[in-house]
Amino acid sequence: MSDNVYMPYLMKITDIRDETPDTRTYRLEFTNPEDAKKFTFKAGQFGLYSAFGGGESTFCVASSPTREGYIECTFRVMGRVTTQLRNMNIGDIVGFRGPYGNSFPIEEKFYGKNITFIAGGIGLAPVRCVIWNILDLRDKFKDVNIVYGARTYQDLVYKHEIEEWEKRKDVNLVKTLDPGGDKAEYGCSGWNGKMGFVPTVLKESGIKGDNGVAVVCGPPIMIKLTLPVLKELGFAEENTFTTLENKMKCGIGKCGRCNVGSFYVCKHGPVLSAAELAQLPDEY
Amino acid sequence: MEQLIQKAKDLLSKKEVDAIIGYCATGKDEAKPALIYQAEDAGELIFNDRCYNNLAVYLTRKDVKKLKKIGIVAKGCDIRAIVNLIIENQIDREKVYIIGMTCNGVVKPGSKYASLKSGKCDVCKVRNPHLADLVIGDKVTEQVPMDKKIKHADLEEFEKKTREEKWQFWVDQLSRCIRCNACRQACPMCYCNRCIVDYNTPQWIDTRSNPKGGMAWNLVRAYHLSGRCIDCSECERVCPVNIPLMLLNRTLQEEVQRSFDFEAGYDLEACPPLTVFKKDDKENFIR
Amino acid sequence: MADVFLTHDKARELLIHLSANGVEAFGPVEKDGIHIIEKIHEQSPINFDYFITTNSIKEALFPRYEKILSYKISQEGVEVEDVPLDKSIVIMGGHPCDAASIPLMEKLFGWDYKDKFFLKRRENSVVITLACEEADNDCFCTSLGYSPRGEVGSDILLERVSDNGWKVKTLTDKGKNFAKEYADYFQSSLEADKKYPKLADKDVPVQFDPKKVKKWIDGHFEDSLWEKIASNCWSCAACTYVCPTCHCFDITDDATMWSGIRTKNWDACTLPYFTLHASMHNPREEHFQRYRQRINHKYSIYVNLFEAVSCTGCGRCSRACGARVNILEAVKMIDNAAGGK
Repeated sequence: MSDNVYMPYLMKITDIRDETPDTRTYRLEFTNPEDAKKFTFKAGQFGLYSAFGGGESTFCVASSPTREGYIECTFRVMGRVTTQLRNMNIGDIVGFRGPYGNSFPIEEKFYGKNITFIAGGIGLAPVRCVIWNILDLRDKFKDVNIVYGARTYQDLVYKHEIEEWEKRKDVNLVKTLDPGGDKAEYGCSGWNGKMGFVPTVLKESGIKGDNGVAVVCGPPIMIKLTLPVLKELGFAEENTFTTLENKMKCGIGKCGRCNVGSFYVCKHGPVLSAAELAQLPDEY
Repeated sequence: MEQLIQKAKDLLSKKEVDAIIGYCATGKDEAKPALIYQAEDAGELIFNDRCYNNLAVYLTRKDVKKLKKIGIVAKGCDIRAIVNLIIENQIDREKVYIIGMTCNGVVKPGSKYASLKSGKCDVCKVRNPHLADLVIGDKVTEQVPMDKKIKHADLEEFEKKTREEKWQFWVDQLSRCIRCNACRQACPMCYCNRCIVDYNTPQWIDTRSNPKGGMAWNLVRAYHLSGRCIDCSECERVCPVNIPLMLLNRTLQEEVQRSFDFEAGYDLEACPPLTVFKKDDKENFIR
Repeated sequence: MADVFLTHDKARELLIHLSANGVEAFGPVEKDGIHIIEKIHEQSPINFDYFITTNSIKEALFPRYEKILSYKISQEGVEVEDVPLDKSIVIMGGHPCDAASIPLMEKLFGWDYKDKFFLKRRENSVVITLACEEADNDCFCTSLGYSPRGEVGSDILLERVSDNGWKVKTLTDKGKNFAKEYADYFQSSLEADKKYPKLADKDVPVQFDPKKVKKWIDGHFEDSLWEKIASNCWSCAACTYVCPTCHCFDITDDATMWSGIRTKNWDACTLPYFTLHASMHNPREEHFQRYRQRINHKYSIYVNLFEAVSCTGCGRCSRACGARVNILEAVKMIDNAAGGK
């Protein structure tokens, strides 16, 4: 093993799924079987994915640690790296450094509880990792609620999986689109979910915070508006978790750009409870 | 000074401006830019030959742009910048109250206060403010008449070099660039919301402090300033590694003067030639 | 042990000899009126008559840009190659405020994940420091517990005894071995001039209490004082790039179709786009927020993480700032705001 902490694993793209016009999911498998054998990660961790020639970009691992042998990542085309990644095909090689950061305290805090997931847009990616982690160990938890919303029908990611969760008897799924998001121009025909913003829909969902743990992920504004609703529903701040997203370059606490006060998102995060979040300076 | 402080107090207390950009003293017999928001702080304002900063750079800073009206203490060279900012629609003439200062030049080269090696004041034609709401200070004699074309001595000297020598000179100088962006941030004409070096799709300019990046960055910046540079020499003064950036800017300035008979920042009605389109342009590729 | 001395001429010869023999030798050169620390080659105009170099010795251990890996792309896939770091390094010409930054940077680069690019370079280097003979109003090393004649981080300390030479103080085994290996360049006597040493700790007065400063910062993230402190900051990176302890960097690729390198390059929290998200959201939108980060990082965050202030009081940032933002003034304003205890 190299002593160079910036050295990536080489991974091969083995599956591609276009989630939305500008969002893609790749399934990646290690090219070196030795790496695959040694590799483990936990729900909530992230990595740096590189398109050789373009550079590195940070995304969470979107697949569950219970599904071994591969990892998945979902990204939106935004800049140089993601544009280059988007142009790749099955069989192409990408770099991966990780897993980095902390994880959701599933064993410590989630076992035996009612679990509620709240996600907006591409924010479902980190949440999806936990969802599958929990569904794969379903009997260890009580009720499972998923509240997922997006701006428009077109912006819903993991559409197949949403359908699958919807069909399951042991999952309560509430899906919603922002007002106006069900127009035909977004590829929508006969929307059977709710219409409205995630915090409002959550409030009216009948979900209760008793003996509950919540996982929230989405755009900053959604998180800011959802946290008070969760409190209202009775979720303890210590049992409400989110992940912080900040620009990162190294992922390992060196490059100095992801910190919010003394909290280095890459080292102390990205997962933190609402109680911890309230302690941070407002600079994220 | 009395008059400056009094005027600033008036403007601020009557709420004619939200803030005044001026100079105040540092602890070391120097002057530094200061943004004064309260009338009671106006007493801090000073003006002397150490006031070399071009304060027009603050007019386009995000927080200053949000203000309704702003006062600015300005020497002739600063006013040239303000003129150009008005022409390029970056600021409204109505939004700026210009307190023009007559000026006999700021610290000279070799002074212990600042390394103004190209002597920005040698070629100054605007020791008396050419656009102001109020002029403070006695009228001073202009050293260079407005209609005289002047060429800086450094440039004369540089032009004697051969092509190869010139190239080698710039390779040496620009590879020293540490890419701190001080030149850009100090430049009143560098106001782009997103500078070309901050783009990465595509990445036009290498962001690294290597010879390639240093060369690309400084040349692109110089080109973007051609016909727009108002000769304040701030980029050169603030460069931590003393790259003679004004030599580069003046080379292009000379080119613009030769081709278009234009100098930036004197006339509110005259647009920098490379920013306008004219049907009678003498080059036919543009028509 | 008998006294050992080194003259400027011999030091110059030594640096050039080292650079000619495969050692990465860094020393002070005079260029267009300023002194900077840079890699020495045969023609370098090495000069030791300066108050302080514009840049710090950071150049040597954490270069402006540095290859961290290279790769080849072919039809078969990608091949990534590591970068060997085996060159010896000699750094001469920094002051105690430069050398003191090394143990500080070591904490960060060794925090959990070991960044070999800094750590290995550090391991391979001999740090030869010049004790200060001059200080200006921007100097404040003593306020942070350092000294103009301090030994922290150095392997050898050179104390000026005459206009053209120093008394050599070897501080570590590395320093001793170096002095032994290059004994030819050192000498056993040198006529001392009474005017040296010119500077003692008391000549650089203590001006604030970093503990008090930290305490204030921790309780005042939102405070109008920050806007006042940084009111004239125009957000360039001159301060951070000349700073011996600023360590933020970017990672970028430089590639053609079939091969490329990945590099670690200096970057700075004071630059507007440092923290900009791809979504265009920027957690530090305003100039004062960025400057706050710089002070906060040095005087509070670093203390929380590594129990040390990440500033050595060299004053380079103040000297380099074209807008005349002065770190000492800033910290003193905070110290004042913190009041009595």
